[in-house]
Amino acid sequence: MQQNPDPDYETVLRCQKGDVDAFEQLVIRHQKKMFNISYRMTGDFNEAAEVVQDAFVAAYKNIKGFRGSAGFSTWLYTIVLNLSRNRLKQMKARAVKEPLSLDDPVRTHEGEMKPDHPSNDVPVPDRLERHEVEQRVHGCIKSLDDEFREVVVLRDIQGLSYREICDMLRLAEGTVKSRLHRARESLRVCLKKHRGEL
Amino acid sequence: MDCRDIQEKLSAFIEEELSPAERLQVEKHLKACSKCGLALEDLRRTIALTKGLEAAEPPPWLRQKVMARVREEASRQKGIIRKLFFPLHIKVPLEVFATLAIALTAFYVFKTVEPEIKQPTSIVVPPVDIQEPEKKEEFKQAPVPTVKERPAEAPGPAKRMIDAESAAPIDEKADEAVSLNEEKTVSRETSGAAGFRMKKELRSFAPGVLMKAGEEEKQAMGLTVFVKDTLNVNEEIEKTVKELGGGIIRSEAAGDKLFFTVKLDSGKLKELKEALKLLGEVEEESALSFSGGDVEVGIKVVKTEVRLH
Repeated sequence: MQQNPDPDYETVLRCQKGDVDAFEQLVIRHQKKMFNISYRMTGDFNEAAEVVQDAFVAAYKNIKGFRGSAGFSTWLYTIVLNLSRNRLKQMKARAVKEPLSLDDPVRTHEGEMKPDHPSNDVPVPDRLERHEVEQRVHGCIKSLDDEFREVVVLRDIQGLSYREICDMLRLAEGTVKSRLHRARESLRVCLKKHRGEL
Repeated sequence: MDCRDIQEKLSAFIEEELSPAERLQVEKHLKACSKCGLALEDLRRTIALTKGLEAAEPPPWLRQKVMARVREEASRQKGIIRKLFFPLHIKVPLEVFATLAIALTAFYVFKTVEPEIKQPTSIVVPPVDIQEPEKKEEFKQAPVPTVKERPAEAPGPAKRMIDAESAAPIDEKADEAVSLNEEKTVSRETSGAAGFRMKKELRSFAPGVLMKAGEEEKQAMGLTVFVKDTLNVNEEIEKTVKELGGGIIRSEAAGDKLFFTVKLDSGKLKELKEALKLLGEVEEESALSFSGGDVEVGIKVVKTEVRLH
């Protein structure tokens, strides 16, 4: 008998029989990737955490309907991607209603912090350079259109295969590749604009 | 292929997704075009920066929060499942038990009420044709004390007259006895409207006129004669019956009433009726007809003043 290639297959079967502990194994296995997809999509740590919770609960509710036509991880990432898109729309709507002030606190990993306005102090130490680069890349990704952002997140950040991306986005491979190229070009332009050189 | 076309393919070139021919074309162009070479370098760095983004660590409480919500959802689902299905485990036996209890109660109630239900339905049964010889009714003689059974009474016609005061209780007792006997007989041996009718008729003849059960073919009819005076009626009736070839089986007196049971050929009934008309007004209380042979006829003689109906 041919074994199912999906590494989650057995665990999912147990979940479908009502084993909640088996579901916890799936949470442990996939939470990081789920969280990163959502974080890169929404660009907000706390929003991403909420989206991941919602995504796992939605997955648990619907796990009996999972038939295994695609991999379980693909199914799970599709849920979190869709919920992230929805959350992003809500966030944008909220931002329009409540425009941010430059003096508003900024939400970060560690909580909220007051914005640090540019000063004429000593240049940023080297140890913070990497963090700065990351913030800049993160900012550029965030500035992309949703359809470009998601292909960059899925392909370049999460390293998913074109096959998986096509399944998740329900797009042809050519479309995905084309979008990805444009997204990378936009990123290149964005990064070059802010850094001067790459 | 110009620079724009080449730059479109740079992403696929980096990811080695191009066909060998396309790849060769791009490589050839890149060697000659520094602008496209720089674009390739920028793209490689961009991808490297993106891929180099450090994966964010989810908050440590995320798993607990997720599982808390999942367990809550699981218990809620169980609750729904229990609401839908668990009661069945309890309810099905309860419902079966309740149904059985109701069925048993209904059965016993029906059993108890059954005789009451059956009795009125017997009226619906088609009446028995009394004229048919096979369907003859058998009637037990009521334990009515006859004149012969009471030797203390005066045997003579005049002495047979019993005063109303002493006769009344006897009449009542006899009537009761007849009623009881009749009811038993009718309920057991007749059915439907015929039985019901016979019972009614017998009551009208009591106490002296009774149908007698016997081996021979005997049927009964009743005649009531309303006379002004009962003094000579006794002798007149004896005489008439004798002339018609019959005989008096029984005679008794109760107050102003006289009761005779006469055995007579059914062919002579008309003549008997005509003869009795000479004594007074005759009323035929039985509508029975007779096909032939001896019959018993009950004759009730009533004084006109005490005509009772």
